[in-house]
Amino acid sequence: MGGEIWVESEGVPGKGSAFHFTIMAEPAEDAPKAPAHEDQHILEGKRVLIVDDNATNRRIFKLQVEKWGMLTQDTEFPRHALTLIEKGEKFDLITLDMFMPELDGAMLAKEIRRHNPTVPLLLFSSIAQSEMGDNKGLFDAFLAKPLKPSLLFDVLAGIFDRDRRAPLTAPKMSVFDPEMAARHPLRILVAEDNAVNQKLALRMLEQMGYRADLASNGIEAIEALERQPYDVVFMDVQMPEMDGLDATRKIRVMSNLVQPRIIAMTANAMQGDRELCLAAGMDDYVSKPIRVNELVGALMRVESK
Amino acid sequence: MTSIDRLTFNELKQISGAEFINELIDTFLDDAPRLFEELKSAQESGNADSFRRAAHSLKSNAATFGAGQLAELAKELETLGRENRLGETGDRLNVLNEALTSACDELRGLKS
Repeated sequence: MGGEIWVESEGVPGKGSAFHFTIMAEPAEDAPKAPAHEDQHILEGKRVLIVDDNATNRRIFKLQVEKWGMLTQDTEFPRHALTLIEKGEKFDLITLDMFMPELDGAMLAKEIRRHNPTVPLLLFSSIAQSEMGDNKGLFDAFLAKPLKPSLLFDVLAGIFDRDRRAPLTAPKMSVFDPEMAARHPLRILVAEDNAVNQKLALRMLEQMGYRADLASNGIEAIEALERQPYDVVFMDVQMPEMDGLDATRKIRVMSNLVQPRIIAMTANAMQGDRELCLAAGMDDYVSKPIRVNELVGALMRVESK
Repeated sequence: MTSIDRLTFNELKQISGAEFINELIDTFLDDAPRLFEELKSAQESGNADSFRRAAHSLKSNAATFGAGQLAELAKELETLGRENRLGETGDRLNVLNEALTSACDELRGLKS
């Protein structure tokens, strides 16, 4: 059969010994096919930040996880990754290379942890886990290069399944960053007629430290803008009296106003809806029910004065 | 069969907080009968715009709380309103009222 067998022992009672062997084996005739990934939905929509100075590695990783429906953002610069996180960008997973110029994977992981103690960190590197020493504890999972899709899938599913198995009643870390308003201050007006949506929008903003003002229709929104400037208006499209599209068109021709950024909020998932909003003069769009990620993303795109 | 999708509801609970969710449920319960009355009277008076708006609000609120069937029904009515086809609603208002009642009952039970 060929192969080797050997034993390592210090010969000290109680210290234990290590037995090793190698064998030569033929590949199985019908090797199991790549898993069909019926669990793929676990990964769908998850946001991953890929940090690797090697463009090829980034690309392979990106293409693979996008096949599973993950949303990716990637950078070759560890410092840029940090900037994104400091700015409050939220990710469900960050994958890091170990050997990068300026800031290596372990240093970057430490920096990330200072801002976000909970985001799962995956070390994707050719370095062996045994060589990591104390730094091993910085990462939630490890994956060796070169990338093996089925292994990657298992590692990712393991990371996110752990979340899913967590009891829903357990006190979870807030999904909001309460410091966001301090770092990225904005004057916000919410124009919305529906009481449930009003409360929910104000509540979400409040948890990020924002105190938004409220208008119940387009007319009230315009009156509010005449009273004081706002950096951003969340504009419901369907409102009585004056809807969001009409209000936006009117606001855009009011030359005496400091023009706010206007973000459409709509529960219509119809095609062409977004175009309609942009054509009316809105700048951005979030769908209802509002998702935390979408809301944070929309706020981050507003310039803070 | 439950009217409220627990995954959606628990997500909502997570983003609004365990206490605030009660306030949000109360708001839904306060608004629901009013919106249904609006829908009914809009149909009787043939006011397609008001009909569409009430259906739209019901749809939006139902989706927020994970009341999938109710959201679907409200969406159908919204479309009929937008296309000015109030004569074609058939039995849909009654079916919607039943779905709304069972969603409200279940939400009451989900308050803590």
